Amino acid sequence: MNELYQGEIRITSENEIVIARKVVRDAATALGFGITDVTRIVTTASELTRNIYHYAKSGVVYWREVNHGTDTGLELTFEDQGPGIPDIDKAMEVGFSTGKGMGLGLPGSKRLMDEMTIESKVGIGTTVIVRKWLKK
Amino acid sequence: MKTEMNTPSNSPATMPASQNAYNRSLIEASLDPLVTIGPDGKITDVNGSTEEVTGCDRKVLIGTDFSDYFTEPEKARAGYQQVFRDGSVRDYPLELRHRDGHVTSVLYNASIYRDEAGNAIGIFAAARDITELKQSENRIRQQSKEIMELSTPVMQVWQGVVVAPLIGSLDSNRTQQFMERLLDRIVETNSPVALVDIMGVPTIDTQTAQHLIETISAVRLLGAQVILTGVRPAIAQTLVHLGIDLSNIMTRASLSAGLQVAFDILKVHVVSKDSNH
Amino acid sequence: MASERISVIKLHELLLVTVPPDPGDELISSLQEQVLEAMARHDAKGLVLDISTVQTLDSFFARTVAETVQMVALMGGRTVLAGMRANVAVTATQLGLTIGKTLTALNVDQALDMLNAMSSGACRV
Repeated sequence: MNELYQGEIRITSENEIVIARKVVRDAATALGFGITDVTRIVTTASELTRNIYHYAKSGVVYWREVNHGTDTGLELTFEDQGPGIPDIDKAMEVGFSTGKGMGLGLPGSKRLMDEMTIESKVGIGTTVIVRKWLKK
Repeated sequence: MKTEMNTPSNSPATMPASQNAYNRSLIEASLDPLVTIGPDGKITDVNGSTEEVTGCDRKVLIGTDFSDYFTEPEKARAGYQQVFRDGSVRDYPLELRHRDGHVTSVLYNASIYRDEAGNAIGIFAAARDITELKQSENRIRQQSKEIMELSTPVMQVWQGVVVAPLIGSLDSNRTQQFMERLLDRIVETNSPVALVDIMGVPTIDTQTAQHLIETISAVRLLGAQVILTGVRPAIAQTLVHLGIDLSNIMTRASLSAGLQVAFDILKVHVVSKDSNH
Repeated sequence: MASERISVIKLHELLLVTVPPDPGDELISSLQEQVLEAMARHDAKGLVLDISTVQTLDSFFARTVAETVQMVALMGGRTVLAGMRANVAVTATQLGLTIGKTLTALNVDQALDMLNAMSSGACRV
């Protein structure tokens, strides 16, 4: 890989959830993640992209290679201008769902990835950033 | 941050000759490839070690793009841009390419150097060769992997049955590896029954028990089942005291008892050749 | 975007549904409808959901499958989820997905054997 890998996917419909999965799968594979880690990353992307579509109807998914010393990783950012999350702690409770899923999207993603940060303001929007590092 | 290209008062041109020669000899004596980079990203000076590691004469190097000599030019560019922004960068990993093609893994320490007035002149960068270090790391990683695999073998003992003896304690990492190996083998061998023997697990805490339960859940998703064997009295006590519910998991005290259950499930009937009737 | 159809095959009294590798949400939802419709049309006693090529199993997919299994049960049928991939199983478990009492099998053959054995009266779980 000769360039700092990055890209974005605009979410405007349900169709982009599949596209997001494909793009993230390619990126994770190219970075050298093993098949199970690729599955973890793609599943996380699927959950969080669907959250964007389900709650905000539109948003953006950014992905990029990140470096920390000699470590390489993949960072995904999920941004929307949707209703926001009123109670992040509650949203992180397994089983709590206000929508289509099983309430696993946020807490599940946290388990599948190495790092996760959530920023959300009611009425303004939500940004979720997750990272997974290549195991050495 | 302003980077001015003027003749700064501490440049070689305005220094006493002996001081200059002394400074230069230090730079040339360094075993680490040293390089200075101008604000435009072009190399302004190099030492002998840089010539060696790139296989190019300094006359060729000076005036060309710093990023041209790396396997990932964009990454190199991003590196020196970061120095201009933040003032310095430490342990920035890059791979230097020699003229003949071979590659040297390095870590860069780089910082801005200034004139007496405090204006930034350019970047001073020193590379540390970590090829050997990387090789050692790779060796250790490979050995750890081998140790991990040796200590968590998953063996097919019969058509449809795999056995995985666990020895030692289970931390998160080990359980992850174990789970993946077990599932892969189950799929590979099409085995509906997996015997996980924990006779060799000295103590079991809530964490370890959770990991085991997770593994068993994953095996179920595949379409196989786990029989936990080698449950010693001490472990049985601990599990009950911890309030861990293993009621929907099959368990047996010994591996052979577990094997018997496996045969029952697979409808395998074992007959001894040695008949005393 | 071209919509794939999910293949539903009738095998005696059982249905075999093969799920494609990366179905979109619309296809997953239509899977439920197609399955129930086929159950009714063929008066099937069981359903094998072949997920051996599925690469991503997220909570939406899992929820739809769980619902479908319940609906099929209400129509008098049993469902077996067949061929989940190892990496998918590891991820699903870590994600926290549960499939309740849904039966699972390593592959379609074992799934069919399971369903046939169960309806033959000599039942063992």
